[in-house]
Amino acid sequence: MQDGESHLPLHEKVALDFAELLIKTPDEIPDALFAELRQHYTESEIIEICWFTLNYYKNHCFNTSVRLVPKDGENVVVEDLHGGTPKGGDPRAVLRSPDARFLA
Amino acid sequence: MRIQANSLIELLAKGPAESGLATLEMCREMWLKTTLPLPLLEMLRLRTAQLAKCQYALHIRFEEPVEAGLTEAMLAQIHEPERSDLPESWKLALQFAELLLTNPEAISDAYYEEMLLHFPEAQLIEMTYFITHNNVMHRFCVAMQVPPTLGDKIEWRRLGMPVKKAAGQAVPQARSAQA
Repeated sequence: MQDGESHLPLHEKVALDFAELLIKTPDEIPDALFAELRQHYTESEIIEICWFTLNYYKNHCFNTSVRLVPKDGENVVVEDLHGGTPKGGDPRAVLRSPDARFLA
Repeated sequence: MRIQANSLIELLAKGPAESGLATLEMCREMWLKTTLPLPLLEMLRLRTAQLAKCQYALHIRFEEPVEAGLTEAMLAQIHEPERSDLPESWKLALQFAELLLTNPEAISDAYYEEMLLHFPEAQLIEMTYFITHNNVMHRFCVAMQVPPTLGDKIEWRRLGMPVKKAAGQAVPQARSAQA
C-alpha cells in the first residue's frame, strides 16, 4: 500500500487510490480516476466501496478518539466475520485496559 | 452526480443490501433519540459538512433545532468556535468535531477531561458517533457530487420529533448546555 511499491492488480490499486481520496479530500477525486474506477467496478460496487471505506473510517476515528487499544497488544488478532472468538486474546480485554477512555 | 440518479435516496438504493439507506436511516434515528441539545447537534452536523465541503448537507436545515433556539447567527460562528460567543460546552464540542475528523490522535487527555466536565460519558459517545456517522454521509455525497436539492436555496426539512423549547429563550447560557 506504499506508493511505487505495489504489486497489486490494477483494479485494486484504483480502489485504494479512490479510498484514500475519499477519506482525505473527497472533493478532489479526479474525473479520470472515477472513470478508471468505472472500468473495473459496477455502479453498485463503487457505492459499496464508498460505504465500506467510509464506515471503517468512522470506526477508526471513533476508536482512536476513545483510545480503544488492540485486543492482544502487539499481536495481530485474527477474527472471523461471524462473531468468532479471536485467537490468542480475550475480546473483553480491551474494555479493561487502563488506556481505554471508557472502561466497561 | 457521478452516478445517474434523481435523488440521494435513489442513488443510495443503487448500492448493495441497502447499506447506504441504512446509514441514512441511522442518521435520523440518532436525531430522534438524542439526549443532546438539538441546536448543538445541528451545529455539529453542519460543521462536519463544512469540513467535508458537502454542499448537499450545507443547504439543508432541520426545523426542530431552529424551534429549539438555533439561529443563523450562531451557525455563522461554527467554523471558528474559539472566537464565538457560543456556550463554552458547545465551543468544546465543535472543536472536538474538528479534531475527531482531522486528527483524532491529537485529542489529548486534558481535552477529554474538559469535555467530560460538560458532557456525561454517554453523551460524549453519542456525540462522537453522531459526528463520525454524519461524516460518512457527507463524504459520500461529495465523492458522488450530489448537488443541493434546491440549488443555492436552503431546503427545510422536518425530523418529526417533539421539541423542548426553553421558556423565553432556548439558547442556553454558557456552561449549562448539558442536556
